[in-house]
Amino acid sequence: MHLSWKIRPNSYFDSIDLMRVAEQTRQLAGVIEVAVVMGTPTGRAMLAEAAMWPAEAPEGTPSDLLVAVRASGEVVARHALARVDDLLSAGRDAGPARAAPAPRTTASAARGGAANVALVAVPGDYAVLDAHQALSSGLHVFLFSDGVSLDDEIALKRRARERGLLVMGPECGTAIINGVGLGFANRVRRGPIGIVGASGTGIQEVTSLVHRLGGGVSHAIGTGGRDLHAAVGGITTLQSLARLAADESTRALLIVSKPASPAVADVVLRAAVEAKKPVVACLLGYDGRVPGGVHAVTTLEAAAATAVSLAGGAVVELERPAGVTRGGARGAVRGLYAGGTLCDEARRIVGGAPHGFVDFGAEEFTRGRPHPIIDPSRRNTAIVEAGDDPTVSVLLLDLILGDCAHPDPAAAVTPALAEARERARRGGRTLTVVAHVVGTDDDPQGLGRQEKTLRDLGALVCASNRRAAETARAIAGGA
Amino acid sequence: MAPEPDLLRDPLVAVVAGPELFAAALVAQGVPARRVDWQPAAQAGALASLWCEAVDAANRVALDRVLAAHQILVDVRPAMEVVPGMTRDTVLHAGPPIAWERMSGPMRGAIVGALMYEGLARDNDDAERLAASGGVRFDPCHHHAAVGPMAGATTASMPVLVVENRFAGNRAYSTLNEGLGKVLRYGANSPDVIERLRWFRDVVGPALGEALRRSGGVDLRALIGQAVQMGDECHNRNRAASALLIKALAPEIAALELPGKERRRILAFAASNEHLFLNVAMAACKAALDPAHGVAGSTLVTTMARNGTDFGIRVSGLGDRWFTAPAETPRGLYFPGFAAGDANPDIGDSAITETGGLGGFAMGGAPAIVQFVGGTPAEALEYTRRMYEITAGESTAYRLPTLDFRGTPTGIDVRLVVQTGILPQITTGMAHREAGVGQVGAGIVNAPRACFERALEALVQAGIGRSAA
Repeated sequence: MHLSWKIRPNSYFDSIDLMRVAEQTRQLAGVIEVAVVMGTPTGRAMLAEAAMWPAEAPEGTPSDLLVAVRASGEVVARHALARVDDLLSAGRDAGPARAAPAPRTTASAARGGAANVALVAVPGDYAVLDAHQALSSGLHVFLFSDGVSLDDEIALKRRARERGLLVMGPECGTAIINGVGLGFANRVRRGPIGIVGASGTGIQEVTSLVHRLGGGVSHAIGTGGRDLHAAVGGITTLQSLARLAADESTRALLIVSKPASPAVADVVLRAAVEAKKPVVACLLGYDGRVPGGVHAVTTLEAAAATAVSLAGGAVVELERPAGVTRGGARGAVRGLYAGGTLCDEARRIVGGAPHGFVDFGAEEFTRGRPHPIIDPSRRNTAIVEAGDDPTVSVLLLDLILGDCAHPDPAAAVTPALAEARERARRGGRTLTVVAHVVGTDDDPQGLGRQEKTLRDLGALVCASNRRAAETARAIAGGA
Repeated sequence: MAPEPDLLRDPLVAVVAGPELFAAALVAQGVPARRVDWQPAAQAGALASLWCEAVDAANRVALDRVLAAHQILVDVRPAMEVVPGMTRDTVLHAGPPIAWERMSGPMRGAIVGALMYEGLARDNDDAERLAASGGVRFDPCHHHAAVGPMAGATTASMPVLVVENRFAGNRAYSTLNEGLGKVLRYGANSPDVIERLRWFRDVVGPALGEALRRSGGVDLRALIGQAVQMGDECHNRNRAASALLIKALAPEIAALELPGKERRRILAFAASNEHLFLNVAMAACKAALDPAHGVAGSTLVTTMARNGTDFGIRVSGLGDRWFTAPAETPRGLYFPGFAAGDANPDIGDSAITETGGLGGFAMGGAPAIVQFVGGTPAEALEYTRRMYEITAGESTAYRLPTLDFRGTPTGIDVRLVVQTGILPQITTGMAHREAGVGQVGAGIVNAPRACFERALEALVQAGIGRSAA
């Protein structure tokens, strides 16, 4: 049996409010009696009557709030006193007449709730203000916006680091935190692989492939494409690696990044090794030195497969399309991509002229327009035009599934593909379509359904971007 | 400061500034997502530079001082004895500094009345000549730890309320409220107005002072908290607070060594004046806000005041500079015989109540005032809720039953006003634009946007934010 008390000086509350708080606090297990009264003569008399105010405690003044708790033990009593504070200070605006209006600023939206992350996807000129407000409010930031200057990125990331917060971005397309996708993300199995990536579509491909290979993802943290620039110094990447190193659910680390400053890459890879967990690094286009203990790979598929195997999982074989290299015509590959990193990887595999690649997710195409993952119209136009190009014999595409993506990308691209092939046929040519669908069967669009739609049209559907690129190259006869 | 969230362990709870689909995707995954009703902000770059550790910390200090204020009404004394810098030839007035030439009708009327009351002028013409010739010193009440409703005319022999802030140790002052009708604060200066002021000086002031000293003071933090829960917003609605104040003082007034008739007259006057408490509330807010002024780097507003010509604000981190713009004319209801063209532009220091989290900011808890300004209770709630968008915190003393006892929005942040374009909402009385007529109605008015834009510019120029990288 334990009696605890507390005085909140100069706190006027209506007695009905106090009775409600006392009643709600009495519900806690182990709590025997609760008294919450103003320190008026009446209030003090009530406490005396109930023997709830120890002789050694001060009497308080009429404007003081007196709280007393009798409980089975000290810990319970302390808990109950805190509960009284919570109940008294909780903002309980439920609004009798009309619902509360939507918050007008990120600062306001962050107030009074348990928010811990801000997803900012407003035009870049304004995104910096929202991101700084989020940091001021103690929130991590997922900064989807592009058009944020390098100086602003540095200021945001340094500030976040000082506050122990992460800024994912700018131009961060994807993250998966604790199984929850932010931005463009795929529904993948939870598991031991922790991912840090500068590229949104790179993370989507790797996480989807990990899932398809039988593995699972603990967290995938996006950093934005410039994080490994010398000026930024890998701030977010290093913070993320430290968090994943300390995270018990993460047993292997996977780093995905586009070309990076060798000095920064070196710092990042050394930091990864210090985590004392297996490390896979897919630094696309990076030919610098790699410290011992890092499994360096050159494709996203190899990154996924290596990580699954290092994390101790059995690697399931990816399925292969039948009769890959039969049929088709020699000529040039035209790669039309929604994912920038996928486009880079394919270009590297297929090679330069006569082959050609366009990344429709590049800033020049997305300024003031939705991303091609949401809106396929720009790429569809290019697909149809490729049907008229006598040099092109293979169309190489990615389709990206997941949350926030187009609800049925295969159906959206089908008419354009049919039209392109029809135009090629009228020109006496054969146009082969090679595609890779990024995603899983748990995605809202369903991987199987999307692949089937493409196959029904006669497209060759490959299980990874690497395989699609190699298949296209083989058909076109480049090597 | 709260511990930083552990991103990888805590369940995600998101704020979304961006397209609906991002919020919808989170909700579909079972994550609570609060979406910002986002609109592009003017001066986004300048604003972004002001969201930084230094400003946040300064604002926390300033806000904490306002929230911690513990105001006690301790005394009533002649202004000459207690108001800092008061002299026999000083006339304090409401709002930012202003010269006689630019003063509005009601302001001039009140000053003429005050000069006659003090015996510094024989009649109206004499008083105007004196005022125009520089024979008296004009200065804002706000420069002297004082506040005055409407014209705010305060002179040496007027009795003033003395409010002590036990948290910070400072004091603030305000004259006694004269009631409604023909009163000096609205620019009326007829003999009956002057006669009442003399009665205040000779009888009421000393009596209230004695009663307060005997009672040991009245706890205003508690009293206002209670009044807010009784439907007052303590700017245009003061009935509950006035009644509570009389209740607290009546026993001491009854015990004063004055003729029974005089004691009865004092109590009857107090009981008949439903705005008795207004000046007390103003001094209480002034006492709470003054300690929050002068916090280096703070973007919180510590003063909003009007002189009938200009509206002015002061900002904690910007010293004693006023940021002014032309005062707007309130929208509202008129007494019989008056119409829109009769009203003077916004006037008075009473917007100190809004600055301190009362008045228009607490309108959602004062259903009766809503009728007065022609709105509905639901609209009043919306006014108050909108003010949360431009304030740094919530009162720990004043809680609104209509919002489930949420604290009133407190601590106007220049950054949020400029970003959202939401302007502080003020409930106010309306003065006739000509001297000597008095109150014509009551209504609502906004602080002008330009004041806040100018303050923002000054904040950036002062190098208060993060400098460009």
